Order: sequence, then C-alpha cells, then structure tokens
Amino acid sequence: MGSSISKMMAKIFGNREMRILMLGLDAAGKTTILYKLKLNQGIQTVPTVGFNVETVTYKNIKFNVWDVGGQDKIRPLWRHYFTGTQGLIFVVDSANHKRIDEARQELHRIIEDREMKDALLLVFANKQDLPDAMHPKEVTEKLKLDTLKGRTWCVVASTAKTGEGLVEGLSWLSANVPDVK
Amino acid sequence: MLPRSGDYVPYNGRSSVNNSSPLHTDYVLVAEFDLDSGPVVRHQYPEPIDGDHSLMAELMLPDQSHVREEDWTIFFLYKNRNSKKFEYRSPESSITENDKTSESHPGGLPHHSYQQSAENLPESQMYYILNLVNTKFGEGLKRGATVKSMCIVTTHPYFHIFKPFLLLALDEYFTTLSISSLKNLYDAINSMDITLLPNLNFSDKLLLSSSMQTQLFSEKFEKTVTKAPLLNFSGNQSHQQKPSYYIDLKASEGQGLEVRKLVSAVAVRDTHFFESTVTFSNIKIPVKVPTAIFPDSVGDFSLIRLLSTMLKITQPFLVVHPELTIYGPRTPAILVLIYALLTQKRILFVGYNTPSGEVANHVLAACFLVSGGSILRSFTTRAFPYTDLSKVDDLLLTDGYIAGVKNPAFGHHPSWWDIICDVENCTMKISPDIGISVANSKFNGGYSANNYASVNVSVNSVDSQFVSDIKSMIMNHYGETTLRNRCSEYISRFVRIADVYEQFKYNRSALWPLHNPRYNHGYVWNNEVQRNQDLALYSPVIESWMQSKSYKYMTDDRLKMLTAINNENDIFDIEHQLDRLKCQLLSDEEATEAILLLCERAYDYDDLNYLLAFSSADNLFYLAYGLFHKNVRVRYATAEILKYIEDHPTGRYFIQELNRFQLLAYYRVLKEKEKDLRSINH
Repeated sequence: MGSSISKMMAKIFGNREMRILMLGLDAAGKTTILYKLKLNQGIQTVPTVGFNVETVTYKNIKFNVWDVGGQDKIRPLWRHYFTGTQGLIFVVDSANHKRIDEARQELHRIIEDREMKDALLLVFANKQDLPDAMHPKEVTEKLKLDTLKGRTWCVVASTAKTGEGLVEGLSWLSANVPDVK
Repeated sequence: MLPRSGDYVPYNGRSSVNNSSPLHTDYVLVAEFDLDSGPVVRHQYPEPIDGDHSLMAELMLPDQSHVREEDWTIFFLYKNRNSKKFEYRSPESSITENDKTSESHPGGLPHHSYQQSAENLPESQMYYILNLVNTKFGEGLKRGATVKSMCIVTTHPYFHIFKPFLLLALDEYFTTLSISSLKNLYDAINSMDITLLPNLNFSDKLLLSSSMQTQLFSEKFEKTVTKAPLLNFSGNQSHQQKPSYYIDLKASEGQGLEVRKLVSAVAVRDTHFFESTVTFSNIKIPVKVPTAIFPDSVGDFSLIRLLSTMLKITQPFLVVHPELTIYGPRTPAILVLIYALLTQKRILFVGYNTPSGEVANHVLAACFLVSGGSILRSFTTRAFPYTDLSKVDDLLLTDGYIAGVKNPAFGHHPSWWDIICDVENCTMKISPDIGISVANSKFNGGYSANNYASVNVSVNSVDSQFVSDIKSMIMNHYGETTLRNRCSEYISRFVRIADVYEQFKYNRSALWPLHNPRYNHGYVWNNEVQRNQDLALYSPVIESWMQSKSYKYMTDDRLKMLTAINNENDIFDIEHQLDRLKCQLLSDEEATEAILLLCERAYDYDDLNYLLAFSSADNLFYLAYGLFHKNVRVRYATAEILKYIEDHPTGRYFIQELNRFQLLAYYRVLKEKEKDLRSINH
C-alpha cells in the first residue's frame, strides 16, 4: 500500500534523482558537509580513506552525494567517478591562501574532462568562520571561474560546521537540475 | 584413477606440497594513511619488496577504513620467475593476443588438448597477502584518527592461521612505531616448523577432503610422530623441543619405547590438520595447518556465507543471457553464479558497508565453489579478493576476473563487469552490455523471449534438488564440509555431463582423450529422454565453458593422467561404472560386466584412493552390491577387491564402516572363497 502511494507521488511530482560528486583538496571539509547535510548535525570527521556516499533528499530531489578523499596520491581516482555525474560540488578551504592555486588546477583538470562537460558546478567557499577566510568573490577570481565557457556555475559561501550556506547550495543545484524524464 | 585437475602442476609451488622452504612469510609491510598525501608504505622487512609500493599501500588501506576500527583484506601478487618483480596480475590470466586468436574458432574441440603443453612450470609464483588494518580514533590525534595496517606476504594458501600474530604485531606497532615489530612478526611466523608435515599427494588429498573420518592417513602422521620422540629423547631433554601434538599424559623421559609409541599413536587428533607452533614473543602458540587443500582453496573463507547470500537473492533478473539464466529471469542466483564462473564471465562482488574481509570471503568462496575443491582450477589466479577503483585497469585486462570491492561506483560502469553481486542488499545483475533486457524481449515478443527469457522452462530436477538441498542444509546448520562436498558434487556432475555432450556432438571428448571404445565414460542418466533434455539445456553453458581456461587445464591434466596408465584395459571411468550400478536398472550381463570391470582392475595406490573417494559418500555401498550377485565369479571378485581395500591402511576405515548386512556378507563370501580355493587345491 505504502509503496503504491509513493509510486503515485513519484508519477505526479516526478522521481527526481541527481548524482553529485563532491571533490576538493584534503581537509577542505567535504565529509563534514556531507554529514551535516545528511544528519543535520556537525560530526567529528576523520580523513576519508577512499570515499563516502550518502543520499540526501531536498525539495523532492534525491541527491546521491559521493564524497571522495582528496589527498594528493588518490586524486587520480577522481576520474572514475565522473561517468553519470550531474553536479560537481567543489569544496575550497577559503582560509588556506597557500593552496588556492593547487585547488584551481585540480578544479580545471576535473571540469575539462569530457565526461563532466554537462555537469553543474557548485563551489563551496568553505570555512567562512575562520578569521582569514577569503570572500566568495575572491575565491571566484582565484579559481578563474570567469574563464569557463558554457558552464553553469555558482560559488556559495559556507561554514560546514554550522551548516551555513549548505542549503543555499543544494537549492541552487535543484533549481538548475536539468529535467529528468 | 579418474584424473582430476591440478594433479601434475602444484602451481602454488612452495605450499604444503613442498615444505623444504624455510620461509613462511617472505615480507612484512606496514602502511599508513598519510594525512597529506594518502596511502604510503612506511616500513618493510627484511627488505623493500620489488614492486609497486603505492599499489601495495592502496590495497593495504581499503576503502572506508576510516569508519571501522578493524578490517582484514586479502590480495594476491605474482612474482615473475625471470624478472623477480612482483606484479598485480597473473601473467597466465591476462588477456593476450593468443587468446584472441584461439577464440576465433568458436565451437568444436580445441586442438591444444591433444598436445602436451610445452611447459609445466608456471611463469610466476603466486603470493598471498594477508593484511590487517586498524583505525584508532582520538581527540588528541591530528584530524581525529590514524589509520595503519600491517601485512604478511606468503606463499601458503592457509595464511589465515597467521591471523592471531598479525593482530598482536600490529597492536605492538601502534606503540613502538618501529620496524622491530615487523621483525618480531617475521621471526615468529618463520619459527613455525612444518618439516614433519606429511607429504600427501593429490589422490590422498582428494580422499581426505571427501571424508570426515579423522584418522585417514594417520599412518603418514605416525611416521612423523615416531620420528619426533626419537629426536626428543636422544639425550636432549629440553622440554621445548617436544612437538605440540604430543600428548604428554604421564610419560616422562625415563619411560620405555612402548609407552611412547602408544602416546604417539593417539597423537593425531584429526588428519585434516597438521599441528605445529609459532613462537611469538617467547610464547608458544599452537597452529593447525590444513592438509587437504587444493590450489583453489585459499584462506578460511566460508562457503556457507556465500551460499546464504545467493539464497537471499530472489528478485528476477532484468537482463538475461543464454549461458547464465538458462531458466529465464527466475533462474536461481546460485546457478547463475556457477554458470558465470564456469563460462569465465567477469564477476564483481560489492559490499559498501561490509568489511572488506567479508567481500574477500565471497570471492574466495566463489573460487572454491566453481573449482569443486579439486575438480577445476585456475580461478584464484584471476581472483582479486579485495580491490579498489585504482586497480580498475588491471581488472579490465584480466579475462574473467572474480573481484571484491567496496565501492558501489563500480555499479555505474556496466562495461566493467558481466555480473555484479551486491552482498549487502542481496541483488545480482547481469550487465546490459552482454545480455538482453527482459523488458525489451517481452515487448518484442520475439525469438529471444521464447528462447531464454521465457519462464516456461521447467527447472531440471537435479538443479532444483541442488538449490533446495543447499537451502535446507543451511537452515539446519549443516557444517562447512558437508556443503562443500554437496557443491563439488554439482560441479563434478556438470563436468561429466560436458564429457557426454562432447561425445554426442563431436564424437569424441577432450575430457576423456584416450577413449577405449569398449567402455563409456561421463555422466550416467537413468533414461534417454532426460539425457537429451539435459544436453540441450546445458549446451550453451558447456560450449562457453569449452572456451575457458579452466576447461583447458582440465583437458591438459586429463591427457597427462590417462597417458600415464600403462595397460589400456585399465583406462576406464571408475565413476561412470559406479554410477551405472547406482542409477541404472542393469541386466545381469551388464551388472556382471560393470562389477567385474571395477573389481578386476589393477589398482595401484592412487587408483584405490580415487575409488574410495568416489564411493565415500555412500561408503562402498554400491560396490558391495556385488557380494549378492548370483554369479559366483562376481561375488568372489567383489570380496577380493574389498579385501584389497581392507588391507590398505586407509581402506580399512571404509570396510569398518560398511553396513552390518554387507559386512557379514563380505566375511561369508570371503570364507566361501577360501574354502573353494582349498577344495580346488586338494
């Protein structure tokens, strides 16, 4: 009975699912964002060995969020997650001025991949609570997002620990998600 | 004397087959998840391993190690004989140009099976890596956790006996952070003494593994035991040198030889294991080395665990394939898995929240399942018990791999696998790249729907019996050995049906290359109709199996086995004759022929082992039928072979177990025969 109702709802509202890949340098806050979204509470995270994957439902959309470890040696693995990804969340530690160039290189390498050509790009300028955090505008410049041609992108200021900005990010994704048949 | 695969090629080289090697572990490694760079190897003992260190580090730190405190993983490496370098892929299982050309002759018998393969020695030595990973969480730690792992690299397929030492050593390493902990482990494992491990040959192992009798071949153990006390008591009074299996009762050094002999006679508790000790930090810890294992029995996997997962898969297949879903979308998953393994499909086990050790368990159990224990081989050489995304290129270069992963992202790439089995949610899928979608075929209502997407095919009674047996055995908590034997029976049946199929279709069978026109071979049916139905039913699976590596090994091994038999009259299929007695209604002449054939054959040591192994399930019941035959020659011949068995150190256990009625008949016929002989002599 329950399943027939949900099937009916799915017919009316559309069964929308979106596969999201969340990448970024190590210690940018990816896992914290994932579990804040999933559980709505800040948890003490530890470095991700491999990956995490969770389903987050927001505004009738099921987001399948893949959070992949960001250490230097395991970045070559990112490409294996590209197929079928509809949205990329790129997380930047806004307080780490030294590594913003490294972040830019990695970001551009990802979105130049053929498999990612249609993916939406959401950048979380994370760790806004830290004193030295860059403004989202500065992050946009440093990441050279203006040079991206034909890409739908957005930078959102966030603080993963408190959850600030995360819902705005999801909301932007859901507004821009292409119609699912 | 039925030849089984793996007889001539102990390709695991320095395993129990050859225990002269002093090393039980060649290397000990420690890896760590570095907060800045990722997985790195921190220490290696006694020297750095010649191979890809980052590959080692990645496999030693399985995905999701950060969510559990402890996990075991298993992976294999191959050391090339010439270059001495460790490789992740077995050279034998890689896709090569040769394979592609040989596959361009579909159908028909392969020609290679009639030529001796030039080289018996495999190109590479297989190494097993047993790895333990621990994650310690703590406020004081940078980023909240530290992940470290330790592994041993060994040539022993029974590496699981070293698990306790790895636990102790890794624990110690967390406090010392020093290479001394690796050295301790290395020395401890290499302190194990297996020089007295009895040297059981293939037929011994076959018989031992088919029986739950605990005293088979105990004479081979006794020999080693009586040797041991002699060493011990000759002047050297050190208590330390006593073997652990020596039950010390009251026997002190001063007592006589008789007492010692008595003690050693009861010392072997179960001949399926050889007991030894490992000295870790001055503490002697007993270990049990399994004695009856074959190349595709690796580690301490649970076949029951794999079978339980298979039984929980109940939803119909959405994609069907003629070689896999032979009964349509509702084909039981366990059968689909077996056919996929036989036809060398690429098989992936996935478990996201499952420990990687558990995933590896499924892979190893699958290798065992299809090997039937001793019947087929070469599956572990293309197995990757635990692997991850970083090794996907290696996987794709391996024909018919069997792999375990934790990452569900593999599911997004149907081109990477032929079959994917989620061990957590209990689902199994056939890749749309190789099969036909049921929805489409129904929609078209076309040819394919009638052929194998249809649900009308009734399940063969032996197949349905197999599935329901497994189900009830697991529900009633039968032991691992019973289930293993039940599965190997199924594989044996398949191979023997294939033998008949080849004779039927090609007039000769590479599975029985030296055909003696007087005797049939292969599976026995009790009626023709069933036989024809079965041959048609399994033909897609058999044809595909004939193109596989395990088939090639099987035919090669059989040829070597049969050519080794001197007397061509002795070249007949013992199992086939036993089955005729078991399954068919034979006329007097036929029964006479079958029993005399079995009884008057010249059995050597190995042949007798085979005969016993094939009749161990029913304990010689059908052979002993001959004691009641109306033809006196048959009765005497039967008594003679039973006598021969009784005089054999292993066979006597089977005679003791004969049912009472047959046992009495045996003694009676034996007496009559002796009386007859005497009267002739007088």
